[in-house]
Amino acid sequence: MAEPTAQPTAGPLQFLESGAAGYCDPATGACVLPAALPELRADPEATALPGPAENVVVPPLDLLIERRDVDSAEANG
Amino acid sequence: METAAQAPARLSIDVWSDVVCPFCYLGEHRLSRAVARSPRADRIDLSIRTFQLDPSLPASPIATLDHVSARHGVPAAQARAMESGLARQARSEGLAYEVDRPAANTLDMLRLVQLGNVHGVGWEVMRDLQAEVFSGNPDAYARATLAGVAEKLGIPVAEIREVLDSDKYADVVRADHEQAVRLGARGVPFTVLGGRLGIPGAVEAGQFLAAINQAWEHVDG
Repeated sequence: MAEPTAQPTAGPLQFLESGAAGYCDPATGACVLPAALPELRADPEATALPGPAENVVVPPLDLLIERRDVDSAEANG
Repeated sequence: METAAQAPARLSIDVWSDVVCPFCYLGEHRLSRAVARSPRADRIDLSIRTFQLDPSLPASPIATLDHVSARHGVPAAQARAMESGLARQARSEGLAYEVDRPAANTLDMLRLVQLGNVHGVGWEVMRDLQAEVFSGNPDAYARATLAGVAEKLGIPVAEIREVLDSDKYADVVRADHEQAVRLGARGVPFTVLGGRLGIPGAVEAGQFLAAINQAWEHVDG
């Protein structure tokens, strides 16, 4: 029986992000889904709420995939 | 192209998660749905990795809302509003979610998940522990609950006791955490497909499925 090991994952990773993805931030303990919690965003005091600190809204996954294909085509001339 | 001599290609999916993380609970559910919808679901290896979100949580359970309020520095009503939003979302996807539930340190749970990984049921240990927590079981963090979950999944009682009586696998929990950070994770859930594609957060099942299909493109070459 094998012991569990931290298997190295091949890198570097290509990140696929969605602006609507909620996650929990270990630095603050905050778990926020911006799109699902509009009442917090509307609250002026909510600025004190540690949401995703670097909550950069990026295009949805399908757009990223399309852009990757365009970039790839351009790189190949 | 596959030949008779080649084993069919497989796709690995690693998910870093914590038991108390609402979005991990949601994200794993969505990912499972995406995998089930994948035409090659039988060739996907789903693995759970551990990521202790808040080591400062005490061993004895406290009210989640009190913790959220104190940790975020927000009024109790705002903490409840946050949690209620998450509850609505979870329930809309068929998951139990109690706003008034206990929170406690998850290191023992995560060490048990690692024991589960040794026995090939780490994912199930994580999911069953999350079900205890998010359904609002006041004894979710009790040793008997942890042992019961692991035993029900077929893990030998002696090994469960050995883990709960020691700090066994704490090093693996730390190593998992450090690896996620090295890979660029800023939070959990954090999903890596085929060792190439990283997905931060609990995206929708359709987005997970699109990413799975994209990852297969790399596997297929």
